[in-house]
Amino acid sequence: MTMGPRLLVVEDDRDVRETLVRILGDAGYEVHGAADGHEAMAELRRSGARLPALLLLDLRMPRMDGRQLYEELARDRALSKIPIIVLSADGRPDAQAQLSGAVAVIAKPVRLEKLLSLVESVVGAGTVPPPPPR
Amino acid sequence: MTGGAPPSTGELEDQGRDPASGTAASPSALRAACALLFADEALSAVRHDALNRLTAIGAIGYELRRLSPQEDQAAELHRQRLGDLNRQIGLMTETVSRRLTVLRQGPGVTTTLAPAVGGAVAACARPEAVGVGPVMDAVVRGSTLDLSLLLLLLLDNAVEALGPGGEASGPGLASVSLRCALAPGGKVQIEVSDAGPGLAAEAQDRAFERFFTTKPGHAGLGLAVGRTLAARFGGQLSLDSGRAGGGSSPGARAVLSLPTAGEPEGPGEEEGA
Repeated sequence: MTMGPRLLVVEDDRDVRETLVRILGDAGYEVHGAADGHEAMAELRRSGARLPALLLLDLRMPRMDGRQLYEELARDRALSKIPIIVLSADGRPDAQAQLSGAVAVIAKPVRLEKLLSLVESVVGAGTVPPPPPR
Repeated sequence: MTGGAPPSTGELEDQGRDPASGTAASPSALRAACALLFADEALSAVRHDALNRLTAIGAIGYELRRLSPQEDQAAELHRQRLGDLNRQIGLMTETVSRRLTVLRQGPGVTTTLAPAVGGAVAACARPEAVGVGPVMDAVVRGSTLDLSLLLLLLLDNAVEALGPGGEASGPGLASVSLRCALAPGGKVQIEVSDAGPGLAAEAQDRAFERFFTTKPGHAGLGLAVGRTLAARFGGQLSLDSGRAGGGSSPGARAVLSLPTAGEPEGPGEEEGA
């Protein structure tokens, strides 16, 4: 089966990361996960890998956090073009304002219907249409 | 302070203002604000983790909706239980988002460096061990209190690194130094370095992780709080581990990089409660 657009979920919480990878994968996207900014950079720079069409980025992570990763991406001409949706569990205005170039900031707890709709608006539909709303 | 609402850092600053200097908070007020900041950071960690749990629970609910049974009675019960799940998530979200807050953000103010540096050095564990270089007349976007707290955290870490007697780890070495410099891109860089043993590579990697510590009895929140404070200024805090982690200088070096702002605005002014 042809996979849809490629997504990268950067989230240190394993349950949240695996759930998002699973649900977005079920929706027909090709999804990879990374537990922090270092893993994300390694994935993005992996030779032969095509760049993701969208990054879903948690802010608070150990080692390289979301803001540091964002700045690292901004320094690379190709990587800086990847749109980013921030997933924020931090309601402080300074946290959300830090990534002013992000496509959107979604506050946790993430509503999956909203996230899927937003992902589709940015990169198009996955290969599997979502179920109709109940 | 607004009754019932968490204090803002601006209100803390007004309450702790040193009558002698008129600008910097007194050492005791700085320590009290530091304790509140640590509590706020700890609760922020709880809030962050709780919101992750709610995200995972909500995602399970989403998947259950996709798998709902077809038989009418079972489907109706399934729908009701999902409704219950969503309601619990909403209640928990309300509790976590609105009630786990010790300090709230005040409106934007600016500050010069000198009062914050002076206040932090006066309040640190061993002011006599700290050597301060020239402090330029730069303005940064944030409160004097926040900058004082940030520098105090770094100075206390540096003094602790010197060891039980607070002495430098080698002869002829300065104990703790605080240096300010202008950096490219309209930034000011403040470095706090010590002559202690430095940090092992693994410790440096995890230094900013909440609740990680190499010091018995410590909460492991100091650098996490420091990073939070640096972010309030739109800046960054980084750590060089020194020779223990493969660096060239003996002890650890904390580097605070802050964007500069325009002319300083009145401290503690609030647009509304």
